[in-house]
Amino acid sequence: MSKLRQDVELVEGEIESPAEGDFAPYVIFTRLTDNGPHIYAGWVDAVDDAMALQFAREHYGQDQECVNIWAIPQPALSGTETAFPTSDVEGAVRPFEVFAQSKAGGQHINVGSVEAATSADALLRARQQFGDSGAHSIWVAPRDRIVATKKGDVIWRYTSQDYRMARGYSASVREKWQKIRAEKDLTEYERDDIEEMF
Amino acid sequence: MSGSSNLGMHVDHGIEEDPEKLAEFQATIDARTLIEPDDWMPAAYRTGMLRMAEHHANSEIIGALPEGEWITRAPSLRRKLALTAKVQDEIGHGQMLYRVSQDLGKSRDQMLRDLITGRTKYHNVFNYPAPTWGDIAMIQWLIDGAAIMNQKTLADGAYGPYVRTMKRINMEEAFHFKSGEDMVLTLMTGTSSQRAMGQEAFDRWWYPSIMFHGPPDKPNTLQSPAMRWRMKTETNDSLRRRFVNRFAPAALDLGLKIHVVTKDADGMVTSRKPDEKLRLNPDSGDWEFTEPDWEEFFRVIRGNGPCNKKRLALRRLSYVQGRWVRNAIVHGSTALPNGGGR
Repeated sequence: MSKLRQDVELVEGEIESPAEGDFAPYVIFTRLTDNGPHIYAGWVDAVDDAMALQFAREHYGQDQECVNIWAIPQPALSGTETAFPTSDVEGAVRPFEVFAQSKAGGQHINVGSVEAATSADALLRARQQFGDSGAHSIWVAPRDRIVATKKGDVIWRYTSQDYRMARGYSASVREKWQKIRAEKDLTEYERDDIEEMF
Repeated sequence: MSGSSNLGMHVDHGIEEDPEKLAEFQATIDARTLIEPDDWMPAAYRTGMLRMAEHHANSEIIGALPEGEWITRAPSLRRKLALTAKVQDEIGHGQMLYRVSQDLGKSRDQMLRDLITGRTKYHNVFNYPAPTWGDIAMIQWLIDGAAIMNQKTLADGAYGPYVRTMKRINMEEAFHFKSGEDMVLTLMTGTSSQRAMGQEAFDRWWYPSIMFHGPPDKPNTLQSPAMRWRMKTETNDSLRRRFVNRFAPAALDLGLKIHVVTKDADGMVTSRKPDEKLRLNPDSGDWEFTEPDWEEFFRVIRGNGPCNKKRLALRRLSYVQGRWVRNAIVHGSTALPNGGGR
């Protein structure tokens, strides 16, 4: 333990904590395979596009390997449900990417694109084009507002990173239990393991 | 690693809600349709979910503090890499949960400030000390095990963003638990001093882990808004029973003895005796055990546990130390900290 941390001085009472302001939210989509779609991964908070991508790379690209990442500033996203107020994107006709969620609670998946001049128009077109299959919710974002990683600019695994995965321990855990528990009991214990028991 | 089950759910019944909307809301939940951020929801639900997600987020970032201190002293390179990855995961969980909380109406900046000024709390279990590597092993086995158990039930809840976050978090928790189980197995199949270290750490962590799921259920728990609205989907006592049924026999097979202990103000064991109530009840199929000292539980919650001050002090120090960095990235400030970093 560093000396600094061992001898932390207690700051008693109020400490000065003026409001510092928040980062801006970005929605993150990752593409898991070369030919697969971009799938909703989650959010990050960042001050600019570069930080959002860097953060998303670490946060969503580390445990789950991916080949590309999209970060979309929340104000650029519009949705059929009210989670995002319809954004005020306006201008010349341009492509909007469309993300559809097939059922409540599912992930939004990039299903294609539409051409439109405003977010409202893009949503309308997306609903006509992609809503027939019974999408629960649809999001659209103008392509020119999507921040994407450059080809290959994600976390690559040059060495095994199984130390950060449950599977990296399965064999070792089983081997050690075998010294302690009878095979029958161990099989029963494993059956109850993470999936069923927890 | 955390969970929010020891958070008291104070639901404000004083607010009159439109009965029709309320019935519709309940019907949506009963139909197992997820509630999304901008769906109509009772004010008490919004406040309750915010409190729960914020408490959970606080717990993630405070919970990483005792583990972070052990990275430099991990016994092998592989364990060091794994512990670094785990701490990174926990902070990431905090980020995701603060995001869920923000969408319920409180700014992240405010939440971080409320944590350091003690206006909001974090999970009680992080107020206990981790003096040896054995403690790190036991935390990852028992506490992460208890947390996955709890979070699996929370992932079956009703609030969409929280449910999605739980699912992703559980994926990572599986690694924490498995590597913890591996560390405990290593200690308990090792030399006599390794086994002694394991036993001593187990004595420190067994009762905090039983208390992890929160105080005993009240008689009307199943009718509480938290359960009806599926903010929680299993009661504290039920989770605790499953936890003990899983971990007590595993501990005994590992050669660990299950003790009832007394501790000093620093959380170190001063006396121990075998838990004489411990047995498998053949009729119910459940393990029976000596109840935790619930007075201790409430004493620690009120801020008088072994490490409450230390944990908060470290978080406050980090907050103050990091201020110039935040000012630089949020406001473009070029001011350097006094004394070059402190």
